[in-house]
Amino acid sequence: MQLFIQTVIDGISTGAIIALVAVGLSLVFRISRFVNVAHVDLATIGAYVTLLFASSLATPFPLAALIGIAAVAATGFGAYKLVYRRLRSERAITLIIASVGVSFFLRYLVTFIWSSNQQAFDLPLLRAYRFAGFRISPYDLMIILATLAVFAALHITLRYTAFGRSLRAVSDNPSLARVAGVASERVVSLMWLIGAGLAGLGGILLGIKAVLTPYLGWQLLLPAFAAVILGGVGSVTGTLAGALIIGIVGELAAIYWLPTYRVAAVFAMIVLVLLIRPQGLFGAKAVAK
Amino acid sequence: MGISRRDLLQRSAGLGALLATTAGGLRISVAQEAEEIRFGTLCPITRAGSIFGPGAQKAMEFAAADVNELGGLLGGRKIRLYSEDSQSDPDAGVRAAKKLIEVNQVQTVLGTWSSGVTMAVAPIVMESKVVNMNFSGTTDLRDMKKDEWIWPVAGSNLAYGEMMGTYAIQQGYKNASFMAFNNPSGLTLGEEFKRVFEAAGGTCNVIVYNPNQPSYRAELTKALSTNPEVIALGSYLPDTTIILKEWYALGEPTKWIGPIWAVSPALVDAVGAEAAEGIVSIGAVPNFDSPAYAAFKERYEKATGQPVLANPFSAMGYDMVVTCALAIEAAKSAVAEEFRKKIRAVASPPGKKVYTIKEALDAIRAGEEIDYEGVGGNMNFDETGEAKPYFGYWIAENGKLDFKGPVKG
Repeated sequence: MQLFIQTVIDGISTGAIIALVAVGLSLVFRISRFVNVAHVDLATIGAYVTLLFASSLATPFPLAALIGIAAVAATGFGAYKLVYRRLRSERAITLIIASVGVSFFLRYLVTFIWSSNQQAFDLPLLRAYRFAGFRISPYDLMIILATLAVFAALHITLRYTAFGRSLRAVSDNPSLARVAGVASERVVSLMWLIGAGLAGLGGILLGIKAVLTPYLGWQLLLPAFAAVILGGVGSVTGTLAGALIIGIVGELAAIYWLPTYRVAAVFAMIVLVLLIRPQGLFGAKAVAK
Repeated sequence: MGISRRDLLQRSAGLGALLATTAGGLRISVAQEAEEIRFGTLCPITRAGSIFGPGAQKAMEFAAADVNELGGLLGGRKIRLYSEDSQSDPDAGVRAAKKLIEVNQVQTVLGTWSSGVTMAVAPIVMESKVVNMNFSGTTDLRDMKKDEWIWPVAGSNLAYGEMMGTYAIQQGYKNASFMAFNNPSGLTLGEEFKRVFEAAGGTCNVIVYNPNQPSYRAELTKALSTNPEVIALGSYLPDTTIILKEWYALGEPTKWIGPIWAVSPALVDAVGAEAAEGIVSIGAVPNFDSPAYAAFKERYEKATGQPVLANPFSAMGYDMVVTCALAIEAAKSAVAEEFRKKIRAVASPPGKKVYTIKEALDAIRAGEEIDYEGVGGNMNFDETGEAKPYFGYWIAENGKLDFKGPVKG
């Protein structure tokens, strides 16, 4: 039982990072109706820009992280203005392929500037906190708390603010929203900024936990995409639930089955869930065109 | 067009004459160079292997210069080196090997590094009847039918697994875990470690994990679940970094052993002095017992400014050129098809142990059977055609990886 609960705790911290990266993917899908593959590479950019400021320019780490997030938000917004907005009347598949292109561009830009050798943030390693026989590392705790804060803020924003109402209106029925006087372009732009910024935050937290390579974010694409589908496409709460379930199931499979079957167990579970609820755990029906 | 027929005729005649002279010139130069023996080198000068390649190539140049200074081979023929860069990449390696073989018409392609490059170049050199010596460790090279064309000298994953197991046993450990990256390298290392460790009476729990994960905590929990005195690694740098960081956070005491490519100075930099303290690295080292080693060390370090221990491939590169040169003298032929059959004879027992090129050449010319002992290893090729290097160990202390001494098998 001890091992089981510990494994669940470990799974939550892995799931929290997946959730941070996945929620942007989900938001973009909700409003622009395509899977932005380059979203995970924005996470990589966030980690590397933070590294640049924290290590080379000796900025305090939290400030460097904020600069990193701002830079990623700008990059994501730039990609929207330069690429995706021009293609918005095309079919979803065109946009997905364009995003694969953006993804390659970002990844090789990182490789070109920083090389493919691994880098690491210069942060002290900390021992885990212990309570009642369980342990959790301070960084994992920070990741879980940051994720909870982000999701709480997102939930409140979407449900109780004018921006949230406009966003829901634009995503539910773009033409009706326009007719009703919603400044849809402004809403969509803001949403891209937020989504990309969250990817940056996810990348930075992952960089603290793991190591920085140009493939940092790319390795999260499948888990993040799976979390979006499992939770229900477009649902913020669903994405959080989906990501946490994926983190926990993967960790449990590695402990009680075989580490090499982590991914297989996760996907078997997703298939099972989708057989019963094709729209995902929290999803509404028919979101994709 | 304003060119009359007469113009055209004149120009053609001129061109013909020019071609004739050039062809004549070419023939003359080819005839002169036929006296030279053409060796190709294909080290990783750029990208992943660039910390090793330039040094290895430098050492090969030393060897060629040494042979030439002693008057060359086969009654005065000098060795001429043609060097290309594999870029640590199979695709670039294949292109460079083709250039060496087709344009420079070399008899050897020496110094391919990384198994990917060697496996890609292997069929080309065999088909072109050229000798390859390499710094690659995949067991595929052991198992393939290479008919004395391909010679690995830097130790296979089997050799690394064996030496890590031997070291662990010598430390008195009885209970180990092995964390293996799920690819042929990690699996072979793990199997061989377990075999050696259990043959000496220990128990070993092997955990295989998949690459590119944000966390290896479940794997680590499994590895620690048997309370091992030591965890050995068949891993690469990024996964090792993450595993060590997570282990440090857990605060569970255990020792660590890994191969030099994972447990490197870069790992110590990435995880910091405290988490790295005491971790042991096992890697190939030069032949400290060779009387020729001290001179090689001095010469190499002066030429490159790099400690010879940071690049065991340099000394092995020197041995590659020397071994081929001795085989040429013994075979009385500079054609790879002929001298490849003498490579094993001049480098492996039986025979009189020789340590320098002069000693070796004198003995061969006197008709003696020799066993060349290199500066990089003993160059004794086993039945599969592979030479096992010597091994040493490093321990991380105060944020630095310190060389401690040889591991004796």
